[in-house]
Amino acid sequence: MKRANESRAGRRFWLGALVCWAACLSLGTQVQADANEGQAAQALLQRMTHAVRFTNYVGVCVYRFGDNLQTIRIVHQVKNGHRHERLVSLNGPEREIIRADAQTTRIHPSEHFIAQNLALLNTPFDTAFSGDPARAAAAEGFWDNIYSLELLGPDRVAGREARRLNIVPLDHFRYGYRLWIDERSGLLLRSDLIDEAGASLEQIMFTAIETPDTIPDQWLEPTRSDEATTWHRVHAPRMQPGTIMASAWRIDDLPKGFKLAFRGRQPVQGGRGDGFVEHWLYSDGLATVSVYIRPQGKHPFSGWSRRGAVSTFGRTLDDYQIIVVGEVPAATVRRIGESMSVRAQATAP
Amino acid sequence: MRDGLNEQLSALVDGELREDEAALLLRQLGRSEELKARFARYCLISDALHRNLSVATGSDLAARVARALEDEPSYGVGQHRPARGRLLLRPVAGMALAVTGALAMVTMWPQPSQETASTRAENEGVIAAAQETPQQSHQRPIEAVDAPERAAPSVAVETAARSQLQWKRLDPQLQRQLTDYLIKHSERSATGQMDTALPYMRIIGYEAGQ
Repeated sequence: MKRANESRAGRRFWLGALVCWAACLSLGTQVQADANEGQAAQALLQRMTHAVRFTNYVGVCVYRFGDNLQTIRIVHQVKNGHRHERLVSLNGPEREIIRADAQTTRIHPSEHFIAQNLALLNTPFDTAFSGDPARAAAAEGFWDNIYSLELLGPDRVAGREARRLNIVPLDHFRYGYRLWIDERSGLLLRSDLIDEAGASLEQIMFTAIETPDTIPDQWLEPTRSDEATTWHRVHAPRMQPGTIMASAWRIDDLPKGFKLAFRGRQPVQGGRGDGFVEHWLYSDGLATVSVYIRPQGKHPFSGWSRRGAVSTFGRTLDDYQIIVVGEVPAATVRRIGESMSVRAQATAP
Repeated sequence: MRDGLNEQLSALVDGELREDEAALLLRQLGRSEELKARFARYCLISDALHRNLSVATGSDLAARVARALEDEPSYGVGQHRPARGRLLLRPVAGMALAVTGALAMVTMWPQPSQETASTRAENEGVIAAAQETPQQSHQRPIEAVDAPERAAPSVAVETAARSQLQWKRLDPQLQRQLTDYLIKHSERSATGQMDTALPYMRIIGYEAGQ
């Protein structure tokens, strides 16, 4: 009797051990699979960011937000280490954008208007994909604390095989992305910006795309260059990325992950003589938010608005107009705007 | 026609509808269950956008708000009608109270009184874009982000639609001013958003839609 009990206890012990071992193995395999998927997703994103920078391509793209639909022809050339890009609207008013590295030139041919401006941010995911161990450690935090990645199944876009990748925000202060990445070239073929309810706020999608080895310079020239006409030109203000000017203002409640990338002054209203505005630019590595501060004008803006992906919040404070703009939820721009105040012992600029 | 009605509903929620139009619309609301339900959803969306109550809470919440509205005697068909002079004011106040009460009930949150944008515009002479008060604390409890599969498509679609309606109601000069800021922001941050052509497409889209 005693031996039978011992035998049963022994069997239970080994059964329990077997169950524990199987559970650990299953858990370990799942963790490993998740880690592998995470690495695969990061590798795919890294491949895409490299491809959009270093690939020649020509294509036609549709861009939709709300009930607005634009068809745009895009030419992207990489030559001698420099990026040149030209976008031409194919429906609605004539609009053209010429990009040379960080400089943007907007052209309205029918209005004889040209405006230049300069992008101020570093390439996204530089931190995540730099190869620097210290930066790589920071990148871990980026994916763990702000966004996560989900690798999904295949799909077809513009007649090409694509891999699907979701960038999922881990809080409600930023939007998510659904990406379709070309299997062959790594280029971004389609992107949906997703709000907190899972609804698409804006979409871009290539309907046709080619990746020639070389792109003639002529393809990047503006359609019209009527020298006999006087063009209204607004030149890019001289600013350096990374500039952080002193300010009499402060923000007390910045959502997690957003870091100040630039603070300076720039002309407003297309630079047509309406003065200057103080500009703060924040980035979380993907989403960006601008804060504009200027003396209160004739038409102050108070409240919020949203157009496509971009939310706007405005308030007046001490005879100054504060406007916060970003491709983030309304709660983010409002939180930043409402937490702004004038520093103690300082007067507004 | 339907767009016009939606626009009126949206304006009513934001307190930006003229009194005579509001009275007419409220009479229509009393007669149409569909319209009443839509109005309830617009109130919910408005609150979600203003206070970051996630719209992903879904149609169930909207339905509960609608039911709360149905139970509100002020909107029952065949009710004793007040004097004409009061017709303009009481339904608006009653509707606001009903919605406020319903939302407070379903969200368990305290509901501070709201100053409408139109009132503030009159008092301060500003162009108000939406119903928004500085007194509303942004430190209010905020719901966690819901997974996309939990989202209610109808609410999400109407949220986008309402944002558009709200944009269309802005003063044209303010629209131009804000569009200029959107363009400047897109230009300045272009290299930071995956470094694709998306920010430039936004610029073209905003300019073309202006």
